Amino acid sequence: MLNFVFILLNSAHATEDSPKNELSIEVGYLDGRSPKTWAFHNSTTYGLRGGYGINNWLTVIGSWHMSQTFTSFSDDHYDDYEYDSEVDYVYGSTDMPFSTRLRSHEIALGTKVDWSPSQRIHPYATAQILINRMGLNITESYLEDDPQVDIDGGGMGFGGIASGGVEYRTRSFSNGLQLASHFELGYGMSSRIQFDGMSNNEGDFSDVDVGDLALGGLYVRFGMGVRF
Amino acid sequence: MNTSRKSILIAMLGLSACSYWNEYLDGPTWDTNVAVAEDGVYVNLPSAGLLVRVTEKGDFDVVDLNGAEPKKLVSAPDGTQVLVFSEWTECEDTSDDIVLIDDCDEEELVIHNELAIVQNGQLNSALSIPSHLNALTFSDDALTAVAYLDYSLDQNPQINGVADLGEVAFIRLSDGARGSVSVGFSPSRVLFGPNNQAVVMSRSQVVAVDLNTFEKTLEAPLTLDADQQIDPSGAELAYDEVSGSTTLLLTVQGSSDLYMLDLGTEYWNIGDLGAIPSAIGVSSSESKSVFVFDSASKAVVLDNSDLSTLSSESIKDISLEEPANKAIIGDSFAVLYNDSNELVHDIYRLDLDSSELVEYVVANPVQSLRLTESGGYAVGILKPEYNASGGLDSYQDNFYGVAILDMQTDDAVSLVAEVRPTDFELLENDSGSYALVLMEDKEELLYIDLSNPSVPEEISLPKPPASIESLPDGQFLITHQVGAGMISFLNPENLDIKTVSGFAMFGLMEDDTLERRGEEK
Repeated sequence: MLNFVFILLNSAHATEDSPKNELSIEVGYLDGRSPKTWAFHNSTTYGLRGGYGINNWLTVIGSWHMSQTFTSFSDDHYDDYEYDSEVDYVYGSTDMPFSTRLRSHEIALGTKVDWSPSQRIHPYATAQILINRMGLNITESYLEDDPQVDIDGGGMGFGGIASGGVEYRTRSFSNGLQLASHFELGYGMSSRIQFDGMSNNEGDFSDVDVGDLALGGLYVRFGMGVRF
Repeated sequence: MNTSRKSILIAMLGLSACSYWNEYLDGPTWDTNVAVAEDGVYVNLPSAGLLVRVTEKGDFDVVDLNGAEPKKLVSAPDGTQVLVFSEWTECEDTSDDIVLIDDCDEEELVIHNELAIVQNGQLNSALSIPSHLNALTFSDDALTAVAYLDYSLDQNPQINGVADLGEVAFIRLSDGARGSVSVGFSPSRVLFGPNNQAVVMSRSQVVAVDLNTFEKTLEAPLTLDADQQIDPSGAELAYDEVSGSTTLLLTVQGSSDLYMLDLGTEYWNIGDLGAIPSAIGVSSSESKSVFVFDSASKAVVLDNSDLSTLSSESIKDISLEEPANKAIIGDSFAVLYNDSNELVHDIYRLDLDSSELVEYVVANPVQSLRLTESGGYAVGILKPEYNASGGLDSYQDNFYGVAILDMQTDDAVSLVAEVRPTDFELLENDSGSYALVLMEDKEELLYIDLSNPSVPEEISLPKPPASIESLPDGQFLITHQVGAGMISFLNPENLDIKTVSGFAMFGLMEDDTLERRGEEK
């Protein structure tokens, strides 16, 4: 197996003077692990990834992604009103809406191993640790000028990512820069993020334990950037 | 890159990272029908399956029901306890990988029903009860609760296995002791009589149960013909101070007959009221009983001491201009009104001593009516009616309203309401009598001085209200239509409002797990 890897790396087309560092903007996705994740967090993230090339095939990579999801909740009894044509009025709506805003920051740090079968196409594999920080806010509505409800708090989750991808690199420009685009697919997992002890109206009332969310499952990232 | 370009790029990146969703929950986050106790307000969170206690100070905590989900809350009359109809779910497949209720096949799911007794924020005891029991009533001393099936509350009661729909469960609240008695088909009313007895009406029979032993002490059929079905429509206990006797007054559906059962001698007497009665009112202080009739413009007053010897000839009618179908008993008088006939605008005060009748005419039909504690005022909600005639009458007819009747001066005022009054409470203190009226979708509470009702005061609320009720400490509790949960406490002395919110967000993200796996069979 080691011999096979050695042969692959020796057959690489990357040369010693090729750019080794990278910087790209990314779109990402990490699946939710609990049934209610979808209601609060859309799992699609946007962010930046940077890499420091130790040599032609090994890069230390780090990324920061974020997303913000606004959800307007209501119960499904909204349309259960009755209409009395005789007196012409509508009543019976039991709708009591509220809104949430979930901000998610994903920080990943790890290594990327490249294989360079050609000068343009570079398959690679990554192994990264994942830190996920989420902040949740709950209020009546984000259209409200003077909200009476303001519940705020958040938590952190820790996990990891294993992925495989492919990178396309252009020819180097005269200044040594290369344009690059990558797509990777894998599996990510994070511990449950607790939303207990949520501050309620800046501490006027008891803290609220809203529950927890867990991320885990399919991991996808697509990015475009430069190598230098 | 200049600053403005950087800002545009950052804003574009920020906006692209935002998502906007609409989500629908299975049900409301909280039930505005809260249960009030001395130690706080108990709130059912149906969506999260949790019970929360909220205090005026803004403290709230989750009450552990041992993994059961609350379905309905009922306060004990003395305010010391809250009884919670609850259920927990068992999965008969005991595989370790089944954690959530959704993980279990539907055929393997079993629902267990309990009646939890909660005190001071703690679960005192939880009694297993049949799933179809959905109504609770309490003995006069608040020591015993009686659970039974009220078919009018749920036309499709849930049955696990087999069920006796005539079962009535008696629960002693002090120690959780429980007894069950089968009282016959479709129990419809439970009354509490002397000698610690409960009297239960069901189809074609009346059963009395000793609340000490939970044993039947009396079983009185309403007919000797087993094929004949007699369904009680109304029942009250009439106590005669002179003889010390207690008589059960029972009216039956579709009949003008009045059934009178002397609980001491166990003898029946039957009288003909001349029309089908729609309501009974009993005045213990006057030892009189009042009957009103939806289909006849009359009322009947009976002396409770004459019930055992009553005959059809001795029943005297009091004529009304319009029929009344409801009766409220005050101190030595009864207020009669009609909440079902859209053409009736009359409300009557009937003196139980002299049979003198005072007629009040209000602008619109009555939706609901209550008496103040002293009996000095009656306050009612009026509902819109159809009127094609035009003019000011027609204008007023299109609106809801509030009627205030002064029982001393016999003045009647009909206020026109901008929107539907959703709920109201009455308040009496040293400074006077007041009505607190909630208006649909309005962020104001009407504070009406009943001695001067034409100029009500408006009290600002933080959000539109859903309900109002009085608290044991004399304050008022107002629930609001806010999904995150909002309750206001109104101090009637200074009209200060303290609002508490956010309690309905407990467990919002929690998954529906099988909480009591260790107890499964």
